Amino acid sequence: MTRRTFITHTAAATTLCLTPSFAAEQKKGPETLALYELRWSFDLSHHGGDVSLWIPLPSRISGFQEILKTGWRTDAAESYESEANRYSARTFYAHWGKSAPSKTLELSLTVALRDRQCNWRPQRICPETIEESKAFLAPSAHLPTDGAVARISALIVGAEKEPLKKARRIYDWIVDNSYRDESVMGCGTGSPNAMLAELEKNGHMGGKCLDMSALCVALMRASGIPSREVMGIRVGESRLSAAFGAGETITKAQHCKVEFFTPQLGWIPCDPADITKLVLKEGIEKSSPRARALAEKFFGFWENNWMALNHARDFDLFPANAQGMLDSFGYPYAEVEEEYLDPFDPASYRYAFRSAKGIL
Amino acid sequence: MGRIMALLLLCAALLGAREWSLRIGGMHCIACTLAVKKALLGVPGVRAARVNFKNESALVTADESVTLGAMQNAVAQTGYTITAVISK
Repeated sequence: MTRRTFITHTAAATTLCLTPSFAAEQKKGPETLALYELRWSFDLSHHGGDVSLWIPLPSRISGFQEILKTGWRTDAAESYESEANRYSARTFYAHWGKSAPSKTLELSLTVALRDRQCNWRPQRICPETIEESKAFLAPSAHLPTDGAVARISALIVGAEKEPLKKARRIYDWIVDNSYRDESVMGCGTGSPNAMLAELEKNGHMGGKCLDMSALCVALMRASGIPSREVMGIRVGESRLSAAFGAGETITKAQHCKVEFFTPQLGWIPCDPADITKLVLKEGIEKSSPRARALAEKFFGFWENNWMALNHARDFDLFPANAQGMLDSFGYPYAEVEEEYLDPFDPASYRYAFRSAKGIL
Repeated sequence: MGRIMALLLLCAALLGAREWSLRIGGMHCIACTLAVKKALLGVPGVRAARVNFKNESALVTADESVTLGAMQNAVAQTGYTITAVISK
């Protein structure tokens, strides 16, 4: 480690320790801080024709996620960073013309991450933040808040009026009624109505993280709680379970969590989907003490081995793509001659993400 | 897009193929285009297919022997529908 690197990393650790922007969520201790060096490689040379590529990048989350370095090397004719979309989702864009002999890109990122643990103590939330949170009550193309979603939300919440208790009922209901379906591609389609239709038909709902997170968000919004999916990626091992972690190759380690908002506590993380993953991977019952303890922990917590990307849903990319509105943005998105390139097949696509834990 | 269509039309004319422009129903996200494309390419005689989510459409180049019914059946099996023939 060079002197300059040491200083930069130490400064990042200090920033993560002291930044009080989420005052309700402080957690300290050396194990709660982590540094990761990420290298994302693309070689699209074998795709004949005009190629456009949009990559979701991590943004700073005050107190929990600091981006210390973003760099890239590419032979693209055009490449730049942008946040010019409805959610200000940080995006890297590259474009290669049809005749380009080589189409490569290597992105490198250094991020410092901290555990995020809600301490449930009320704090003063500024009126602007409360007002901004209301945007996350609205339905979108893939997040209905009427019909079956409204009906089930009302059944779960019942007469409860307290936002935190309503959110907890919805979280527990999803954990109780869903299971992880490994046959689902990627993170799932994130369709609450599809999940509820399966529940009605089969008595339970199968899916992956985006499916369960989208359902959680839709049910919370229908009950009046601002909420949003947070697309992200696991970048290292978990201290809690192998089910929540990733090795050095993180190409397929995308994972979606949920945030919801109360005017007393601000944005609070939760993750019903990872409890269903824990149950499947460890072969334990949902009613087991371990599953129950982690379900309790994951209401108000995210671990520092997961890096948030964005909370964009049903939005237009910048610059505009040919295929139209994107439903979520956790995977790289590319078009070859205006046709969608399948991101769930990284070997054919030819991209790879790697992560290495750094020293703080 | 115009150049691509012209190229496909030219190829179709030269190789004795027919070009279909189809309206596709039931796609709810861009990833659905992959399933529709795979279904269309699975029909014997279909040579190429381009599917667009925004326009809810597919451009198919196929042998003269390929029927609309065969493509409708294939697409329906994946949960989508061919709702109209825009041109052929």
